[in-house]
Amino acid sequence: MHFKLHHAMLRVGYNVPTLISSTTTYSIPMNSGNLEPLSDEERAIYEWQLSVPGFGVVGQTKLKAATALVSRVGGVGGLVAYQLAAAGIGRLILAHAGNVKSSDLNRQLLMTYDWLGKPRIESIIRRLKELNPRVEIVGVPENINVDNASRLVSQSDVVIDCAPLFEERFELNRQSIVHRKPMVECAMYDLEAHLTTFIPGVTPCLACLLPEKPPTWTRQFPVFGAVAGSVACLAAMEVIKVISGLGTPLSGRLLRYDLRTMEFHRFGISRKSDCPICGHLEERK
Amino acid sequence: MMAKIRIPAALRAHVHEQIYVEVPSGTVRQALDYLIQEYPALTAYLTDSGGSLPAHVNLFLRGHQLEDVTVQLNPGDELYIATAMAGG
Ligand SMILES: [Zn+2]
Repeated sequence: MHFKLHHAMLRVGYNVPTLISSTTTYSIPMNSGNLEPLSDEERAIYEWQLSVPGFGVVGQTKLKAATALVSRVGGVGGLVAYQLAAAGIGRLILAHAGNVKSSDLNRQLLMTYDWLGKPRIESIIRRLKELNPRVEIVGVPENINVDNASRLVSQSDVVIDCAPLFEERFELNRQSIVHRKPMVECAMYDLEAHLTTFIPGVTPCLACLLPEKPPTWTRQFPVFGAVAGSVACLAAMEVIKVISGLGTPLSGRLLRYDLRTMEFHRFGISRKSDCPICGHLEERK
Repeated sequence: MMAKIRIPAALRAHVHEQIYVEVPSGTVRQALDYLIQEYPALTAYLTDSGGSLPAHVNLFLRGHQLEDVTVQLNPGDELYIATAMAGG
C-alpha cells in the first residue's frame, strides 16, 4: 500500500465567527462558489443523514469540501476518523507513527490482526478506504511534532487532538492558534473522558486549561476501547457541527464524564488573558 | 449536609477507590487541605513546590471552572477535581 504526503492548498478558508454561546451555532465560513455538488451516489449513501434538520445537502456539501487533521489515529483518533469517513468528509490528514502491536487491538479499531508488525498508517488507510473509497486520505507515518505540525495544521480546516502524549497535544494546540484553526480536544483515562471545542480568539485554548503537563502521566494508561470510542464519536459530531454549522458546538464548555458511574458534567471554561499561547489574540465576540 | 469532593479516576487508588469524599464546611482551600490530610498520598498530586494546587489540576464548582480557592463551600456543593488526561 502506498501513501504520500500532499501539500494541497486549502480549499476553504477560516475566519473567526461572530458569536459563540449556548444558543448560537458556529461553522467555518465556506466559499460556496468552490463547493462541489454531491453526486447521485453520495446522495444515496448519505440519504439518512441528509434528513437531519439543520444539516441537509448544504451541510453535506460543506463536509465534502472540508479537511480534518487527526493527531494520532488510535483508540480515540481512529474512531474519529472512521466516523468522519462514514459521514462523508472530503479529506483526512492522519498522523500516526509506528507499527501495529498486539496491545493496540483492544481499542485501535483501524488496526487489524493481520497487520501486526506492519505500519499502522497503512492499516488505517486501508480500513477507511474499505468504508469510504471517496475520501481523500493524506497518511503521515509520523506523530505530530515541532517539525510537521505547522504544515499539517495549515492544510486543515479543523484539527482533532487525540494524542496520548501532552507534548504532541501542546504542539497541535500551539499551531491551531498560529493558523487560527478550531481544535476539538478529546481525551480519556480509565473510564473517564473529556471533550471541548477550542475556537481561537473566542474560547480558551488547551494551554489556558492546561498550562503544563502533569509529571505523573505515563504513556500506558488504563483503557477500554468503548471508552475511547465514546469520546471519539462525540468529537466527530463536534467536527461535523463546526464544519456544517449544525447545532451548537461545545465551545467555552468542557464536558467531563465517567462511564464507571455514568455521571456527565459540563463546565464553563474561560480564556486566560496571560496565556502564552493564545493570550495575544484579540477577543472575538 | 456536608460538601463533597469528586475524586478523578487517576487519584482513586489513594482514597480507597472512593468517588466522592465528604469534607467539612469551609473554603475550597480548607477542603483540599482536609482531603490531603486524610489521604497524604494525594500530596504529590495536589500540591506543587509552593504548596499550591498544581497548574495541571483544574477545579470546577457549580458548573464553572474555579480559580479562587478562598470560595466558601456550601452544604451540598460538589467540588470537582479534574486531573489532566491525554489518553488517545
Ligand atoms: Zn490559551
